[in-house]
Amino acid sequence: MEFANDDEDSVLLGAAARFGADRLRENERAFEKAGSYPTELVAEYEELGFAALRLDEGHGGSDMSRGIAAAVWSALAEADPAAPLGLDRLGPAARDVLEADGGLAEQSGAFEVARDLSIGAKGVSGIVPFVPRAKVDWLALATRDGLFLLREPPAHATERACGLQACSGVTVVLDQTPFEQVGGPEVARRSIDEARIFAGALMLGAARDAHAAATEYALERIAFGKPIAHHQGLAFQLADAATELQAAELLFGAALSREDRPELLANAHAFVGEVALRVAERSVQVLGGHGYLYDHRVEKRMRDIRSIASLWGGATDSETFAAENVLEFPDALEAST
Amino acid sequence: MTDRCTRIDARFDAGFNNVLLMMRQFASEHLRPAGLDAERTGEPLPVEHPLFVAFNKTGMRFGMNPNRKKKKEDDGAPKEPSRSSRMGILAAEELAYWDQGACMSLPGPGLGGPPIGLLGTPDQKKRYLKDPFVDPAKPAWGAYALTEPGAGSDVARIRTTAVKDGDHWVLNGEKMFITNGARAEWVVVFATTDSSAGREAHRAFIVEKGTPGFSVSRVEKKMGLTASETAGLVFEDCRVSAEQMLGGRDQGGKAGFKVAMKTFDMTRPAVASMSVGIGRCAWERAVHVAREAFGPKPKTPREILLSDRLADARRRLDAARLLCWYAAHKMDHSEPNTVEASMAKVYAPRAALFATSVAMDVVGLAAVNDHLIEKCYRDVKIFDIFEGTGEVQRIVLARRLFGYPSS
Ligand SMILES: Cc1cc2nc3c(=O)[nH]c(=O)nc-3n(C[C@H](O)[C@H](O)[C@H](O)COP(=O)(O)OP(=O)(O)OC[C@H]3O[C@@H](n4cnc5c(N)ncnc54)[C@H](O)[C@@H]3O)c2cc1C
Repeated sequence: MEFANDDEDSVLLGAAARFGADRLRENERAFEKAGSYPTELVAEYEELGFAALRLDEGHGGSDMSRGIAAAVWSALAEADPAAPLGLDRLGPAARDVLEADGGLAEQSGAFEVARDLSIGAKGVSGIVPFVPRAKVDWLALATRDGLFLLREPPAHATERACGLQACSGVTVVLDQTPFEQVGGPEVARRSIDEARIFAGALMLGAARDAHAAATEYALERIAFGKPIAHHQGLAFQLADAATELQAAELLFGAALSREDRPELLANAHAFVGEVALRVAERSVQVLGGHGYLYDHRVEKRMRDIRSIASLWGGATDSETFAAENVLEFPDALEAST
Repeated sequence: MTDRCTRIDARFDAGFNNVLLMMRQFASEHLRPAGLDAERTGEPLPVEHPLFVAFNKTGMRFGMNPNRKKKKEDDGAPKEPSRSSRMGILAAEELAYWDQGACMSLPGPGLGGPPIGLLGTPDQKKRYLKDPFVDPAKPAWGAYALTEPGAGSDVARIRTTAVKDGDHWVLNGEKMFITNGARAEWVVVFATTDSSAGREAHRAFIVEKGTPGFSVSRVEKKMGLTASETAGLVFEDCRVSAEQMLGGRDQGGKAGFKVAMKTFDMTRPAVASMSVGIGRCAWERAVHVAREAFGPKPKTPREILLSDRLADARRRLDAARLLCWYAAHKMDHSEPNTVEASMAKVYAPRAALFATSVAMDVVGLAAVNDHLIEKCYRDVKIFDIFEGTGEVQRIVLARRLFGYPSS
């Protein structure tokens, strides 16, 4: 068992926290209202190397480990959960897609797990209801059989989503849209893993921030003669939220170090989703009516987390995967494995 | 508020693995059968049960070892972090996996070890932690008696009194729930010298078996942990010499209490780990049963539902284990870990109870025949109660994290 954090990691995390504090936190409502992030912010984000954390250096990425990338995304999500999605141009399948066609690096790409799409000889049909992008030049689709690339898929603006509103968002309607195969099941699985890491990290950061905001408020707000944090009903809820967040953080972290065990990541992603949704909702509850208003960030955390929990097949997809495979690892709980 | 690690690896290195295998061999051979023996009789394991001598012969000792010298000298070289907390929780989980009731019945100073080890005089350490345990053929026990019928979580309420009488103290009162209390050679008994003065007035005394005025009122019947003896103790004008006060004649007070609290930072993750072990036992058994019945992939709605619950239980158990290990990791690295220890203790027993309950769902009413799963279900509940209830842990967390007031 190892729990570690290198100095170099701390420097990078510090940079992410600073970018979050200086550039995102104060403006997140403005980004949401505009439905997009300013172009100069996108450029700055890329400049700092955050846009391609998991891409190899050959493709201009920063080649960060899964653990560090997740920590950076989490730190950014604390300031604005939508930002790492809205500021990222390539999405979770980038590595394998660029392997197939390096020219796509300059375009705006997206990723989806194709659960309800039909993929046949004539092309792909079906609807991808929400892609957190203003523009989709290419779409990578993962199925159980492989990873597929669709160039210039027909996309149009969506209705406003529950959360992640700063990411614009498009709907992609596919009708026998031609595709090319980028890789087999293993490659598809890898990009699904990448998506789970991205989504899990965002939910953790957002939930952590919601909890911090709720705790801070609960110490200031007075009811019945004392801070509401010091009424036991609320104190216990806050203590439970802190415990569950810590549990989620550790489970997710442990899964990140096991590239060879996708079911651990699916389990962790499902767990993070469950915890983040609960913590976010409870955090709104702590603020009472005030929590329901745009005046505080907890309501946005709750909406954003709800949307992130549905991205790329969602936490339910991970849960399904974990349930399907749970009997395959009868000794899975053995700590030494 | 929560910590961030960019590298977490849940695998064991060779050192931990060796301990695991050693524990497993002993526990599978001796603990599990002994635990099932107790289930059959419905009684705690009798003192003459062969488990105890077999355990003594392994040379394993749990609890405080008074002979272990702490290295004090500092030669400037970077110190290797200790591994003892992590070894402790590793052993705790594995032994509990095989049988926690039998594990708690094993000979040794038990919960009485830490206070004597930390606060005892050299003479007390020799007399109570060493001498009674030298002969492996004669199993011996120690015990720790704090809880009373009227005072559990609210320790300040204990009503057992200690009144000075010349060179003696006279104890009067009743203790309840005392593990190994009826068979113990000695019991660390907490009493108050002034019941209006709260913890400041608490003193602990080491009372030997057979001391006039000290008797066992009953051995409890419990839902689980059947192999372990839980006793009620009575003190009626029980005279003990001033030398019997923990730490010697004038010892006790706040510093002592603080040290006693510090032991919780060590024991809570271990106790939490025990619940993980019990949860894992039920979980693995249930997965085995499900696999036999469903094949490797669930198909029908019921099979899928149960598989989902099993996966859910697994997530919680894995997370619980990590919380325990993280708390122990911090302790071994000499970092403050009160928060982490309480988080583990809040979370793990519930996760484990959930796992055992899901396991019951998998086997259904056949659980009457499957002793192990229903036994795990009964055994695990207490972990949310003793060693500080879940609610008490939440109070500790709330205090530490956002200044919840003490009273
Ligand atoms: C099998 C077994 C072995 C044991 N072994 C030992 C032993 O060896 N030595 C020993 O001294 N004791 C032992 N105990 C006792 C155990 O530590 C106590 O049962 C435990 O501390 C709880 O105390 P209580 O039972 O009096 O419950 P109470 O303290 O009366 O608690 C009742 C309920 O009230 C809740 N509660 C209490 N205070 C608060 C509060 N301020 N806010 C919110 N909720 C609160 C509790 O969480 C609990 O849910 C053992 C118990 C058992 C069952």
